[in-house]
Amino acid sequence: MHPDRLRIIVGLASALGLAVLLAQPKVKALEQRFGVTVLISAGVPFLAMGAIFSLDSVGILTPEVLIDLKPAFEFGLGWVGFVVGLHFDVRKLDALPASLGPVIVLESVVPMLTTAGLCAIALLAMGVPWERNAFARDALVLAACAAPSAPISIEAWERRVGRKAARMIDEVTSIDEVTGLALLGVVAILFRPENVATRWVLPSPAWLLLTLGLGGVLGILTYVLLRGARNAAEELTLLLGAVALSAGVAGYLALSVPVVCAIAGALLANLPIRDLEGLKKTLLDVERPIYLIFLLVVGATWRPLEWQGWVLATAFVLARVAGKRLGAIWSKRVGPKELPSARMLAIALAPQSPSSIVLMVSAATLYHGYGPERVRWAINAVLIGGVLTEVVVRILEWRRRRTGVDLTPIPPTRVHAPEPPKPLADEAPVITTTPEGNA
Amino acid sequence: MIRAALVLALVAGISFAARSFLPADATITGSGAALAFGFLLIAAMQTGHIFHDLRLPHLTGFILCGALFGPEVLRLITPSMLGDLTLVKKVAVGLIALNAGCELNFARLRPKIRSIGLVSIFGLLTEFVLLFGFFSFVLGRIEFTAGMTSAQRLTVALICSTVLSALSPAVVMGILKETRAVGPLSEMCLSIVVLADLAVVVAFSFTESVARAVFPPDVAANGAGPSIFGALAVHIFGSIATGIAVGLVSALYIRRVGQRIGLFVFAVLFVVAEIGGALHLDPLLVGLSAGLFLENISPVSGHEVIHETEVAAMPTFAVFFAVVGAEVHLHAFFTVAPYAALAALTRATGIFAGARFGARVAKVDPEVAARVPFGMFPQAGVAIGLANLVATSFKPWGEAASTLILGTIVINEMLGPVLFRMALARAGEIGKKREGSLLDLPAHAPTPEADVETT
Repeated sequence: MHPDRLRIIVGLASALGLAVLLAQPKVKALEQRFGVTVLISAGVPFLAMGAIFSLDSVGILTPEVLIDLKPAFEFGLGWVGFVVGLHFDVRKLDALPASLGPVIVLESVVPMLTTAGLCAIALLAMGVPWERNAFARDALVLAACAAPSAPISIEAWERRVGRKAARMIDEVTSIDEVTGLALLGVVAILFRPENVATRWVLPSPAWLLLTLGLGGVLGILTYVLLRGARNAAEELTLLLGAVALSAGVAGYLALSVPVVCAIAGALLANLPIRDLEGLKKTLLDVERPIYLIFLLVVGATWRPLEWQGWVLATAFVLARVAGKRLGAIWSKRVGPKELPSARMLAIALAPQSPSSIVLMVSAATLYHGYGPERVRWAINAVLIGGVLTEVVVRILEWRRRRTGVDLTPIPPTRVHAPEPPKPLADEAPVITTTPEGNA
Repeated sequence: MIRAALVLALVAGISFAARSFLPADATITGSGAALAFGFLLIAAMQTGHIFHDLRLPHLTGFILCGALFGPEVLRLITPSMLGDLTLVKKVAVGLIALNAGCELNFARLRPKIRSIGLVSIFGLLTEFVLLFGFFSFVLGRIEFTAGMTSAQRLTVALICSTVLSALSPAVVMGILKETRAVGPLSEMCLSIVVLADLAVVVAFSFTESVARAVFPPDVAANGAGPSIFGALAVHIFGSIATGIAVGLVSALYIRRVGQRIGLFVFAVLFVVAEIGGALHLDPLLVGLSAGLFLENISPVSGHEVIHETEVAAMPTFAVFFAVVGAEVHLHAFFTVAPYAALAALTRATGIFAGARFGARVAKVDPEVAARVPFGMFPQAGVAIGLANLVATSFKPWGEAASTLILGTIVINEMLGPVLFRMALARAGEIGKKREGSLLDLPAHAPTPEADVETT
């Protein structure tokens, strides 16, 4: 057997082995236990593997193999977009405390602003040209990646800040991805990839309408398809088809794939589906292998020796963590009183969501022809940034524990014995926990 | 049916509108493939529903849908999009073959092995002999053999009749899955097509060697190296060895890990499809060998694998047959339509007569014997693959011979599934398979209460 072929077999088989290993529920349980995201547990090994496999001397992720993986790539973007969109259930949003809305906005918009600002400065300092606002586009993409926070481990945070606060943080993490996607959608509309071969010439507002309209039509189509499904197997088949079609149409029109699919998913979430949670579970089951493929392919373009990537990663992490902290301070002022202290809130929301990889990959797919080196730096910033953020969070947490200072209002720990009736007799018994900081 | 037609029109409208963004001959690699995959999956399912209401197989609907929207008619799916879907097709072939292999338990088939062998041998031999006679007679009247000697014409006839002897495990498996048929006819048909197809692939390597000997090297210009026979031997045995390795790894995984088996099997087939191109492996043989190994040698039950991969079966079949349909050479068919129709008729006669005779010799139940030939009519993947090999291996005549073969395959591809489904219905085997299945689980569609709530 030719050594090149043997290399491809061994390489793909080892990637497969690792993917299977890291997709095991036990690994997820370990992640939850240690409070780390997929970026740490699987991100680094897969990223490194992608980088090594793409080396000419190794020759496993050859350009041919990468082209073969491209359809799976687009499909994956659409899949994750649908998952994000399905979280946007208006009925659930209506049930949230009204004052949580500003928290979601602040916790996603403030980090986006700080990241856009600092990363734009970093990009300009590294010599990215002013022409056609290329630096602004890259900075905005990085800003979009800064918004989403990693889902928290409810059990762990319940012990630390109480049930109500943990639920609120969880809601924030499940919705803030939408803000990042919205910004990415705007970027894809304002900075259209130039393609002389296209037959449509439309102004930006028309592209905005097209993005919204296409997402809406695809959402309705998906609903009609799922409604007509005669059994679970057919439903899965039609769901696969709807996601692929949505991703394919959006990609074909050079729109942001996850954005269009998220609009479709959001519409689907708000139409009468008998078992929305079951549908979400079906989609979530395949989410992790998709991330692993992303990481492997993204790793093929990763150049860890490029200093610019590390500079941008540092700027990204600093701006993002600072933005989350600022957002937390502001949120504490305007948000519900049950929210934990600003410090705790910032620590809870600082870890980067894996969906930021999707945002980055989507932008890289759209703009891969424009300054490939800048695409590599941005990828480096988001992926390494994700890992660095977790390190920063650990340090912050360690400091918080050492100082023992926390201004979180103490949620009650036990069910108190019924007391003599008070004027507000309909108040429910309060469950309290002791926050770590005060223990 | 109206709903399916409306959805089909909507999906086609969206896809045509999106395609108009770029000139007709341009495409985008990743997005084009995703668009083609999504469109074919949804459109094939809707066409399948329409065909179901017309009491025709879904599978014929899938194939027709592919043919209609493919590069030769409406051109929504371009040849480059089809090229991008090659990997999907290979994975699908692997999965279909794996399922077919897992269905075949030699211990259970042992009492019937004589019947299966006799029906296969007589069916194939009669089919081959009649086709050979037909082509020997017809080829003298066709333009591309004008300058050939009698020996060379006979060799072309040998090649054409060998390729057209191929059966279709994929179609048979597809119809059995779709109809959830189980019973003596289903079992016998599946066993015959799997074993007979292996025999045809091996036979093709011999006939190709004969052709290489008859046609001087400057005429039989092909880039496959000095010995096609050797290459095919490596291809066959390499695929079988790889299949056994895949079966072994899968069995180990199922025994040791036992979680997300479907995803694991799918990922393995993906790797096999990816490396198969480089190593000249046949995904059909790999999947088949892996399935046979799992069901017959390993401690793991093949039915466990079938159950775990069932979730992927419906999309796999829909996309595979829609792609097969999109690859249908309609123009080729129209150029050779009369000859193709006659060849298809000759083939059907040969199969019918031979299989019936074999069944009588083997004393097969007359009810089954009367219907077994219908399972042998369909043709698809393997035959198309061999026809394409003829086109590329034997220049200058290979192209024209391949056109003639592909034209015949179109008829068998369209009519075969319909006839086989009818035979299964008459045998009363449709819908008899009742295992815990996704087909028994409800969808997430809204309940009437939800409808009331919204109104």
